[in-house]
Amino acid sequence: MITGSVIALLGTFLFSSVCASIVFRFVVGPSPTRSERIRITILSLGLGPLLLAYLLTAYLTVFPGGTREVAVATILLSLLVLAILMYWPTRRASTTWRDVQWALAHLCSVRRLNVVSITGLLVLLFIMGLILLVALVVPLTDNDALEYAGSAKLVFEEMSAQRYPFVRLTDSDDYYGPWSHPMGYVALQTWGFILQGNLEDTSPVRFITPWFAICTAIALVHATGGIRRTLSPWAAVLLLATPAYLFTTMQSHIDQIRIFSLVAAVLCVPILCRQPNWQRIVGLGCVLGSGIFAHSLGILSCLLISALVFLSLRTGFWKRLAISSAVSLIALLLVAVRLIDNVVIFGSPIADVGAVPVYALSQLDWEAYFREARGIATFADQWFAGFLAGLSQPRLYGITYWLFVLALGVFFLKLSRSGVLSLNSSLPRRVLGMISSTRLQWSALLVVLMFYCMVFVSVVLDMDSFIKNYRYMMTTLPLVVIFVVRTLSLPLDNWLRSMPSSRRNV
Amino acid sequence: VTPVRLILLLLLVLGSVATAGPVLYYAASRLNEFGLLSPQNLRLADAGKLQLSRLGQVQMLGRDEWENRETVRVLTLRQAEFAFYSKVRFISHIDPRMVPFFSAKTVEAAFQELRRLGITHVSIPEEPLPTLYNSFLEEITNSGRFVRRRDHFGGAVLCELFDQPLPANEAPEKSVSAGNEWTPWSAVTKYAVTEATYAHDGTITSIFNSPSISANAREVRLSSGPGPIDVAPQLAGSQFPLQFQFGHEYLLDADIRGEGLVQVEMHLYIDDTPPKVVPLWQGFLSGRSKRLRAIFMQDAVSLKCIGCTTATGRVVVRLLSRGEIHLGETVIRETGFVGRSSSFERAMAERRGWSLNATQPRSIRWGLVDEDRPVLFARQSGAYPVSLQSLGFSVREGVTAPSLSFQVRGHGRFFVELMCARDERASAQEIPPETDWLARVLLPIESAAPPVRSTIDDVSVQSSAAAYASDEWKKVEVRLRMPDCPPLSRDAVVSRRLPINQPADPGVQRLNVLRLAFVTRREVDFAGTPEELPDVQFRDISLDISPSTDNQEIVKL
Repeated sequence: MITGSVIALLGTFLFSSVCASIVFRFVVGPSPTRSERIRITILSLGLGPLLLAYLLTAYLTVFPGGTREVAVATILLSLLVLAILMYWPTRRASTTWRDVQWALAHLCSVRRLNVVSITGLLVLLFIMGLILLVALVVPLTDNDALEYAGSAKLVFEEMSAQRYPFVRLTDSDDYYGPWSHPMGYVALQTWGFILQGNLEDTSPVRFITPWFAICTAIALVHATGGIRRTLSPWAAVLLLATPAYLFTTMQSHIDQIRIFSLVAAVLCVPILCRQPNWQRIVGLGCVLGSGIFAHSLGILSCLLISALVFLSLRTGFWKRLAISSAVSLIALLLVAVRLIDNVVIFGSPIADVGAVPVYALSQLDWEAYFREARGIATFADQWFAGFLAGLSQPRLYGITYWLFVLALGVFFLKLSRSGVLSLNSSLPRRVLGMISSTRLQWSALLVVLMFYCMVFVSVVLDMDSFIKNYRYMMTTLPLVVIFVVRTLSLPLDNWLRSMPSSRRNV
Repeated sequence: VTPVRLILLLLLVLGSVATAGPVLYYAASRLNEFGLLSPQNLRLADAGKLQLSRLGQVQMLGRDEWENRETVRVLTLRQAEFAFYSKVRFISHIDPRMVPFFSAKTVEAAFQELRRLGITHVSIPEEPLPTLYNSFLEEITNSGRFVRRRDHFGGAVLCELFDQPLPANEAPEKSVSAGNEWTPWSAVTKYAVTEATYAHDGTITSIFNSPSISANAREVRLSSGPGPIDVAPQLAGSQFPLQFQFGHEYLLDADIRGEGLVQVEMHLYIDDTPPKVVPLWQGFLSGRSKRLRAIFMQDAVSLKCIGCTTATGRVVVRLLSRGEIHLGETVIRETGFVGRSSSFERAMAERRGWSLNATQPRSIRWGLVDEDRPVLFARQSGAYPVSLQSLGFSVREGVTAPSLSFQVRGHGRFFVELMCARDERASAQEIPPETDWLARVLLPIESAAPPVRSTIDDVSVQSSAAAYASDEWKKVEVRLRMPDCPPLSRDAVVSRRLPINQPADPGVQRLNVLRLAFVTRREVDFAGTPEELPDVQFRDISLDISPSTDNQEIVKL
């Protein structure tokens, strides 16, 4: 049942993660702290496959038409060479190995667990098991995933990425793939087919999205303090059990990759801010770029992350501006080829429905279709069902956003108790001081709020771009979860500590 | 146990159930979509699982006859399944090469554009898409002028196009005006719907549906003719109801303006049972005027009234979302095409009382062609047999070996059998399809002498069913043994579909009600090639059920 190609895919993902963790040690620079090293190691799990996809895209673009064995060997070798090149000048193998040990202890140490975290861990394992079971046995039938797989099929058959995206059609072509996303997801699917050697089965392809979903879940466990924190497993549970996130995972959607990259970038911002040297700027830029590489909407994250970097840095205004724009610039440079090509093909770097000539035909009246079919026709709909989707559509978002509202309440209650919001202190200065804190809780909240500001402005300007698709509103979901769990865990821990008997049992 | 710990425990249980429960539910429904909750299916390869799927286009792509990439090209309104799984050529509806088609001025020019792209089939999913409802594609895929046959795969429809359109016919006009006979009809009867209003000013009938939040919109309907929608218009007091002939194709021409998701249907009433609903048009309107042209065929079949050929109808306009509709002049006329649709063959067989019984009615073709002499045909394309069952007929006691004669052509294996049609439900009016199978008789087609072999043991007969291959019609005569049917109970209501040869006093003479069935048979297992699948036709089926030689009693089926 578990075909060799699935094992090969997961194996190469793991291999690429190891290589990526060595490569990204370079990011941390000369004096990393322990928590930074753990963070880099954990995020490498998701960044590795993206690095692999990037190399594969480059290979298939530059050397089209090779055999698949050569492709596999080249990619794996170049990953290895890249890792060795990064590792050789400093030779910190032992420290790298220690990173992995620390990360494992951080994520898996089951000592000092209490009843709440053990339950959370069991639920988390159960959910992950179901996700993997579905990936293993259910064929690929969802619309978007199949269309991407259609591209991957052609790339695999031609062993060339030169024709991607498939919009310049000749008479002999059937498939039409008019999207402006760089090749990230399609390259990973192609990698699955290359490992399998044929297109008979979609099982390797079905593990890509779950991989990134689980990586995001692991990143959340880390971001909320590691497994020894009471609520950390619940953070991962909350993410994976949010209906929209769950079923897009099971349907092999592309968004999990983009969302992972955003989380990774947010988690890397404190690393940059602690010591803003050029390696860390390049590193954050690459993490950010990996999101755009999977989905052109990742460009949005550039704005969010640059703003976050700008707010979080503790240097002069111009330096802050330079660093934050440099991060976005590097991210854009990573996918510059695709963006320029998009301008040539579609007329703009990111092309939505405007790139398809049939959508422009006025007699078909697509506008009415899009507006009505998405249920955001009236003003009330746009605000209630669109902007407040997280609260008004529990069918899609569960109770996650309601917990967010609760956490906001707790958070501001604490703030006002601590006197930050009281009138006699110099309010703007205190607030600014809080904002420039590098605590993750703050970063997550800031990014979520900035995202909602963008949505707010877009709705006010009567643009549907954010609210038309529930998956776009899902962008900040993991950050919402980070904020919720980090805010609620302190009161909960205090409560648990107040009843000593529950500890003793476990 | 302290109360605090109890609360903690409750919270934990609640949290676990609230998170793991939906995940479990969703995973199970995903698995169930492919029949994967049965463990033996888990080990199938992807291709096998796709065959078990209930998704329309996935079923469609499992067609065996689609190996020839050169001649078949499907225009699909949902590219996804074709993009990855297709073995045939295809083109997406949003492909830039389709632009000339959508810009064509006449339906003929549009059709020629399709042919120019080499399109032979059109695949239509369930959801309404502007490329269908706002283009000539709607008219092309509905009309017998352009479509050779139409097959249903789950919710998806596959239309096979003619190489050239048939010439248009001029036909007499029948007109329905949007006069006083339009009645407003709201779907919500329990609560007062304050948002829905209705207005009428002589030529234009309007309905409005304006809840503040779209998600709260309830459906509002408008139907032609008086009275409630479930009742035929003539029964509700209409003097001149719309009338449609069986097998005829009609064109509805309406001026419609407004906003919202609109569905237009024809409800056909043939007896006092609920009407047959024929969807005519479904789409989103956006304030512009639209001339709606929808083609439909009257193929309603009554189980109670086998000879009925005329149905009355209502045009029903449903506003499914927030919005408003203004309906202007509405005209219905005949297109002049009779019996061109593929579903018509099936409807005609059903009208003659033949019913289909297949374990998996997936892409099975069967029906009745009625040119000079009615021809019954069946084509098995899956693993499971097709069983064509005649309407029930009564046989007197004392008949031992009725002789059956029919003509057959085609290829494949099949057998015929007489089945007991028993019905003990006091209020029943139809013979249920799940009747007992008591005897099966081998049909020895190749030999002239018809040895009668009957058995209760199903297996021995099934394994010896005869194979047959001939393009010529061949007459077959065979004597069948009567199955030993249990007697009908006293108060059994015999189906109204039974033919007339009932004895004068059923209480005195014992009566058997039987059906004749033709069952296709496939000896190889599922791994066989498509050519081995039965594809047979029958005609002139008559069964001699006389108890003695002097008075002939023949059932023609």
